[in-house]
Amino acid sequence: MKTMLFGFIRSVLSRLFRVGRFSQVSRPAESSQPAGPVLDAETQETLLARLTSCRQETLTRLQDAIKETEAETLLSGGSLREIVQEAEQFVEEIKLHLGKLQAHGDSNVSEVLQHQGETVDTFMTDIAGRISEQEDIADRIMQTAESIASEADSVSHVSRQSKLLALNTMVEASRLSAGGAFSVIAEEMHKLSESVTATNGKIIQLAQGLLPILQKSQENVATMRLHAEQFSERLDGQHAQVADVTQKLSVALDESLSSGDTHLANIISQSHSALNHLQFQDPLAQRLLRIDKLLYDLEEAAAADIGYQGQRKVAPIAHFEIGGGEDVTDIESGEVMLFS
Amino acid sequence: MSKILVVDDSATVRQQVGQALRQANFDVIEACDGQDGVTKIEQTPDLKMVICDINMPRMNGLEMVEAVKQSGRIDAGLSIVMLTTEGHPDLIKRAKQAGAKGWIVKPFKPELLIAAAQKLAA
Repeated sequence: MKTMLFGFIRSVLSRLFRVGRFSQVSRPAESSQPAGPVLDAETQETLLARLTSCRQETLTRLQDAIKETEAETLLSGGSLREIVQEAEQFVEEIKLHLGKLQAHGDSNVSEVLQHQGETVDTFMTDIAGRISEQEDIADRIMQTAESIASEADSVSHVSRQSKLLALNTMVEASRLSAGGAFSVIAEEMHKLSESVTATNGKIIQLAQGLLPILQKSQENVATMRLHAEQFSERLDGQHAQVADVTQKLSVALDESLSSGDTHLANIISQSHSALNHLQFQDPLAQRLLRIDKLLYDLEEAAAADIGYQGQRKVAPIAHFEIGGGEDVTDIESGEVMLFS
Repeated sequence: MSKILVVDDSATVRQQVGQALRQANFDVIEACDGQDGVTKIEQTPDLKMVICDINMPRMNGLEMVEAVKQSGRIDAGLSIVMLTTEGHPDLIKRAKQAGAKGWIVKPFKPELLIAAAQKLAA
């Protein structure tokens, strides 16, 4: 489109220059003043009408080009605005989601760990208490069993004394005349002594049988205590690992949020910058349309050159006569000048 | 939400200015030339500010400011800022005499435009 446009402008200018050459040829070489009309009025009208037609065609093409760039610029502007809005919305959403994830992740893991820790602590305290109770009970049973054995020893001694006493009674009974009664007593004492010895033997046997069982029970309780302590240590270690992972997760979320923020801020910034650059279209359009005024001036010059005296019918489009495309003199582009 | 009228024959300028101002929470209405601008100003009594181009078909920006001045709206508090590619001192002087409150040369900087709007349309 641009190539076509410039080609056309070159063609028009070329035609205008040809007019210039024609008028130069037609005027006397020694005079700097126009030589006056050398073409008849009809030819002048035809020539200038052709120039006007060329100018109008140029203007039409310029306007078409401007409309085309305007439409594309509007589309680009709309797209960039959507990109900015999407990016801004994404920033808000990502902040919201990551914030939630961070808050929930931290609090949930912390809460679970705390709850689990409390439960385990309670359990371990309970277990430790019960183990201690078991140890006390086992100790007391051991002491009781040992006391029983000790007492059984004492009873054995008494039993032996009883046997000796029964034997002496038998001796005395055989020596006395009324020894029948003593003999009965001695017999009964002997039987009692035998019975006590037998029972005591059984008690000692039972007490001795109980001791290894109690020792085994004490060992089991000690093993339970050791396992409970090991379990507690392992659990503490796992809690520390989970806390470490949670901390790393939190840091990773922070870094992710920060990194995403930076990239999205760049996208938004670049989009804003691109939006600003789209402002080129309006000044470009106005500069292009000023070509119409330039062509009009050339047409006027050509009319003067050929001594045309008539009234020009097609003026340049009116709104370029306001500023005339003057360069900025007092104020920079983008600057805001507020009047006092 | 303050109402601002953007008067420009370029749809791209109206889009750019409108987007910048809307992002700053202004209520933006648009007109495509001076004549349309005068009509919109008449139809919008609660208008706080007008941002107006100079070079426009049918009625240019300076003519529009002069017409609005005659209507009494400028004296009643309506602020008009010119937004144009032009920067000739004579034009700036004419706009100021007609009652314009400021002048911005295109391409505009959104942050400065918004700052001016916040000052004049608050």
